[in-house]
Amino acid sequence: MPGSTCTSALLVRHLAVAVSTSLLLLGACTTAIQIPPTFGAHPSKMSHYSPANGNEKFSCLDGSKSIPWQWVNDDYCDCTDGSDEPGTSACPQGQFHCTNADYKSKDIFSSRVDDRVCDCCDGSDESLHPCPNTCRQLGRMERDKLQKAIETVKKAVELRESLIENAKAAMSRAKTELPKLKDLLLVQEKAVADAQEALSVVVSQKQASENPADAKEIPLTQSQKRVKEGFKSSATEQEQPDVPEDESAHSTTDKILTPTKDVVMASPSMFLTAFQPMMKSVGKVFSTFKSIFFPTEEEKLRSEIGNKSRAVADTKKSIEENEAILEYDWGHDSEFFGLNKKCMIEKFRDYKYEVCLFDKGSQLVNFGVGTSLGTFQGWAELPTKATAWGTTHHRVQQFRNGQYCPALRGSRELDVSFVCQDETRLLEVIEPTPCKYSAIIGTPAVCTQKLVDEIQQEMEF
Amino acid sequence: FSLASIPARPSKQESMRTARLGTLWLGAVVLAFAASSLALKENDFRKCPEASFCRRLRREAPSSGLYSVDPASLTSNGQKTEFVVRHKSSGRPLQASLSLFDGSVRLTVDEAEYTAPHPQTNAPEGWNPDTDGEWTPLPAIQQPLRKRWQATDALAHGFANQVLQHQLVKGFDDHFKVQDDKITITVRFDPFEVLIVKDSIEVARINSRNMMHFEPFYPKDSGVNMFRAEWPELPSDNLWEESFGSHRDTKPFGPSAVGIDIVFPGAKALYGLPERSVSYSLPNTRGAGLEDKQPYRLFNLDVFEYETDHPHPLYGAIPTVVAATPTTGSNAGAMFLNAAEQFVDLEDVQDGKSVHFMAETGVIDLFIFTGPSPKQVSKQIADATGKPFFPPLFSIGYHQCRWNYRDERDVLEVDEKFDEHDIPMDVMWLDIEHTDNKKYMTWDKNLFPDPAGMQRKLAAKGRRMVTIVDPHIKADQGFNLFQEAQEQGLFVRKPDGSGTQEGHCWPGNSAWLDYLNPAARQYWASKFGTYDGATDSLFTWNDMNEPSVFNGPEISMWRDAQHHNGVEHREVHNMYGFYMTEATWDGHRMTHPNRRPFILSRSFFAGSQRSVAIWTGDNTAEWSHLRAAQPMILSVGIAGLPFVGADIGGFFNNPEPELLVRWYQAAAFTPFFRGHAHIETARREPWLFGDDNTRRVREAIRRRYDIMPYLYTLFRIAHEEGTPIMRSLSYEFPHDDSLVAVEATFMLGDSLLVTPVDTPSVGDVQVVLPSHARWFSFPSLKEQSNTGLQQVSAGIDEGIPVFQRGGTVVARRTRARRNTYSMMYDPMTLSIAPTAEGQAQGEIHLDDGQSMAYEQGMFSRVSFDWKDNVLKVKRVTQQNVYNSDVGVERVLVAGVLREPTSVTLTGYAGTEQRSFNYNPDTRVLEIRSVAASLDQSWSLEIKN
Repeated sequence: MPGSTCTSALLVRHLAVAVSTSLLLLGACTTAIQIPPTFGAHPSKMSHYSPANGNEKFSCLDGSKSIPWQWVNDDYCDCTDGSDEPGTSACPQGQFHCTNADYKSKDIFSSRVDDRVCDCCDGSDESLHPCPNTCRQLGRMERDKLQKAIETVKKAVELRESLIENAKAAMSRAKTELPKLKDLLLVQEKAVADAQEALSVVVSQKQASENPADAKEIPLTQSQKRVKEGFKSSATEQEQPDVPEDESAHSTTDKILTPTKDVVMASPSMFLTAFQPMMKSVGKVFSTFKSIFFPTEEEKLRSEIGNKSRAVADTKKSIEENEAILEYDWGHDSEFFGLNKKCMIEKFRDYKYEVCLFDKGSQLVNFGVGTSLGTFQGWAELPTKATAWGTTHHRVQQFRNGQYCPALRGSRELDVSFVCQDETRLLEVIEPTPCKYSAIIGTPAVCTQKLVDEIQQEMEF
Repeated sequence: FSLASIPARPSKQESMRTARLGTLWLGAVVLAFAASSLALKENDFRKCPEASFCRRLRREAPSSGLYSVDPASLTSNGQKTEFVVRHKSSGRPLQASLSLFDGSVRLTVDEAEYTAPHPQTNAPEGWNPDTDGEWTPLPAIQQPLRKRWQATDALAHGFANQVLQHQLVKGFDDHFKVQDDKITITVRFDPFEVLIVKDSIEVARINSRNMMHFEPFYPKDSGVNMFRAEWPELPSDNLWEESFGSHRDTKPFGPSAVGIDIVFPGAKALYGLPERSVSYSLPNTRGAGLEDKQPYRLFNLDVFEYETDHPHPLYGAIPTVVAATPTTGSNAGAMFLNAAEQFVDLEDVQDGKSVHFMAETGVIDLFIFTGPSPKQVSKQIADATGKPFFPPLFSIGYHQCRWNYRDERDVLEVDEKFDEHDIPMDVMWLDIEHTDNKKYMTWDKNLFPDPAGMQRKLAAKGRRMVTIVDPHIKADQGFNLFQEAQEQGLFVRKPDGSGTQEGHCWPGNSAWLDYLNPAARQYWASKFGTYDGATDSLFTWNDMNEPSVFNGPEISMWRDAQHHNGVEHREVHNMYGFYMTEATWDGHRMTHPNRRPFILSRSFFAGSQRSVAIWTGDNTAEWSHLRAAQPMILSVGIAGLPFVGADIGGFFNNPEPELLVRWYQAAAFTPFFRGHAHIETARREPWLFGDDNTRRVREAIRRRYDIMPYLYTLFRIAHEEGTPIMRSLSYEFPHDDSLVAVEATFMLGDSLLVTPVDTPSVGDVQVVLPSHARWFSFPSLKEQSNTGLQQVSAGIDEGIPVFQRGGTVVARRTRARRNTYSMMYDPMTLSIAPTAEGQAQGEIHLDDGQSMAYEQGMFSRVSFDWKDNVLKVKRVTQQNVYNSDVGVERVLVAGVLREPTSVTLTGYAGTEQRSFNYNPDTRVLEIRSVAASLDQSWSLEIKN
């Protein structure tokens, strides 16, 4: 540019004013570029930009103003909505339409027009900066890519179908099982009640024959009380297998109880014995052995009640499980049913992550225990977003109440989103914000015919 | 960022170890205990009472002077007048010199070469053999025992050659004079005092309060007694050894402090002495009622979570103070050029302000900048310590930083998001995590497998990248930089000189390059040429260069550590970062000879403006820190370094969206404009807080890009004249004594007045509009009819109020672009705000924005002159040397009383009419489609 006597074309572009008059400030070697009013306008709005309709003036699309036709695309912003300059960068609020023949058309901000960066593959956004037309090439590549994607997705759609079928089968099984289980429960509960009735008869007979006053009021120590309460609760409530083992004194007691639970249920007094070293006399030990090998009628009945109560509990658990199968949110078509408790471990950079769907997420370290990123809280609806693996499903699994994070002054959190892939695997875990993790799982569960149609549609350019 | 949180808080440490940085923190684990109390606390950093030299020097002004001039010693060669100043009681001679520069005076005092029997033959008065020991005769005085290190590298290259001829006038009984046609320096013999008068106005008095102090080096074996003999009035503890906290300073050379006082007659306010977070008009530290105050300290430190409104020193130091005297509308300045630790007392005296500089060691090298205008003081500072570098255009755009953008994908996604939201952005930054284990100039190849490709992708959109390059070198034999520097002996050495002084920093065990050593600077510079993965669009961030040493005293280098030629770290401390950035500058220049460097530094000294922009370090996401940014930036600017900014949003913690938005709105009008955040904060890119906030931040950043031609011109003027970009009202209106302490409203250049909103939940803000000027709301150009303190609407959607000063023409670019590269050839809008007399002036600088070709005159300067309803646009520089290919599309004229009948453009080839819109309510005339080139001269006439 040094020493140049001609003003460059770019300047001309920005000086392309009042096209009827001469550009007196420019050298003789330049000519003005006149941009047609329709240039850069969206096809749907093309009619507004045609003086042929007999309009004497151009009306800003927001109706705010009318301006002479030669002020349209004259590289000077007159309309507040930017509609008078569809083909230039003059208006900050404007939009430019790239036709991009052989590829996807695109609307870009006016700020991209003539900014020396090629934004449209047909180069139409840059009148002076060299931009090669790459639309055809891009189109071919995109078609190839989409074709491949369609094949993969089609295959995955079939996988999804089988996921759904499996879920349906499991559900119909559950549906048939449930009434049966409920009937069974009634029978089992009746049996327990009968046995208890029998026991109370035996006990009252025994009490009458022995010395009833003594047996009644044995004062309990603190630990005896705890044991007793523990006994009560395990007899009346469902067992909770997922209670962490180190929960509390209460569950510690449970843990100790567990190996001898049957015996305990059969004979609380014997259990108390085993638990009270003070009372652990030789005689008592002897009587324990005796009761195991030569049970009395009472002991037999207690044992029977225990066994039958356990059966009740088992049935209740099965009922709950089956109800969960039927009532739980496994996705619109129950397509996620097969992924229940599915765990995946992958290493990303320095860390290994484990995600168990419908269950928990954690960061594993080489030494010591892993860091909990949260337990499964439920589904959330989030806007879909484009990722390197495709567009995410609109539903996200949220894991909350992970290990405390000082930076966040709260617990760690994990969001798991899904993209369509032909197998279920953990694709990525990142921590965009401290202690807020986000994982992407590829799975056929989100591969639908709709997705195939969408890709098909994308290919229409 | 600083030593930051990692080792500082065990809880954070825990979170880092378990969830993020894994094994990298082994070193930090070791540190956790020692560093657990790092959040700024009074006791973590030295104050005057903990520094023995400050205890000695900070005393009541002696009633009689300690020094006198030996008249017989006077000599002059017309450029330098030299004379001996004697310590009166001991007779010890000091060598002093005076020289004159254009508008400034330099006084130096150093130890004279001297050998004599010690004059103190008997025990001094008050000597008590019971407590003080037997009096032994003192050895002969031999001086200097050691050459004093001088901070002259801070001076502009070739400054010495700018010395002016002066005249020495002798023959008076009690004084002599040194003078030229403007400045007269009167030096009184006894007590020694220097009086500087310019154009008959008394500018400054040196040592008029008799605070001058100069401790010679003493031999260690008899030094304590010699010291006590010569300074019986001073405490003599901790002369050869001193501790702070758990750190022992061996002080092998003993005491060598220096000090001097300056009085600015008539001064009402003092500014400068960065870096710290206090009000712009520096509060006094001495005087009645201020007994508890500490002197300001100049000592570069990495202060974790620094507090606002606190006098403790931060990352950089410029020992320059500027005095404002509204009665004459004049400014004057003083620089105590010394790189050692300094304390400075400010005090009201009978007729003005007193400044008392005290340094731990070094020489007295005092500059007085005589002004008299604020801009002349800036020019005199720039003459002495160098012109601010002329930055590449991109660097005054918006910078997006975070500790850390994780990987290439993260970087490119953030880049893409800026485009998606149509928010302008020029530079993506990478903090320490991008390296291979904190080995600078390397990449973590897992995270950044193709760094050059990533930079090229950014560059394709006109964006640049900055990577962090710190001065601590990982002590790892497998790291070539460490190994080579070790072999060549380029590291700072242990106090006994026995080997490399190692310490802890980000990589764990580290060594620090001794940038004082020219060979080390050269070596460092050469490394930019072999920086693997660097492209033409990669620039540099020098952090942690105070230097920050996690296990050192006050988180810095040991004072007795050894530099090149046996210089102690204490002598050069405040210039460590300066030397580092000089070397980085050389590296940029060598690697890309035709590219303007851009370097951001945290540490700085006088002269750093020649090579770096700086930011105010690790601030916090609090309203108080937003408020503190203005006085901090103004203080650094008035001291001579104009390219300054504060991290938007606050480095530590998470800003609420309102604070973040207000911060963007304010920072858009500060010289350096960067968003940055600590690794433990939530992501805070502009689009993460809902559509309303995204729009607000977009608007804030666009306002920055809107005034880019004006701003770029300000940087160019700063490069030529040293003028700050961001200025106090008192700088622009020096006669108005009501403005001396105003900092909430400031000027961006001479044309725009800016008032940030720095409190939550407000819809308006108090703006100070200086009287005797017309003010127009910018960019609407509606006139604000009242001046003085005005309540102005400033809702969060409106943004902060900006006013254009009557009498100015501001060049704008109204097209929304994605960065400065994209707007390079956009046409401009001229905003004309006339005075009451209907006049306005302005100018712009145009060039390619990135190369060094401007040094060969490849630029153009265009002036705008509005008068009598005619705008004259004149190309000031020669035609056709550089053509900008830029035109003007729009001219806005404020305060037009009637709708014109016609607007005529006149160029060299004839005249044309231009269409226009007139708004009778706002009285703004918009001349549309002006379509005239800035490579030509032309005029625009409005006819009524």
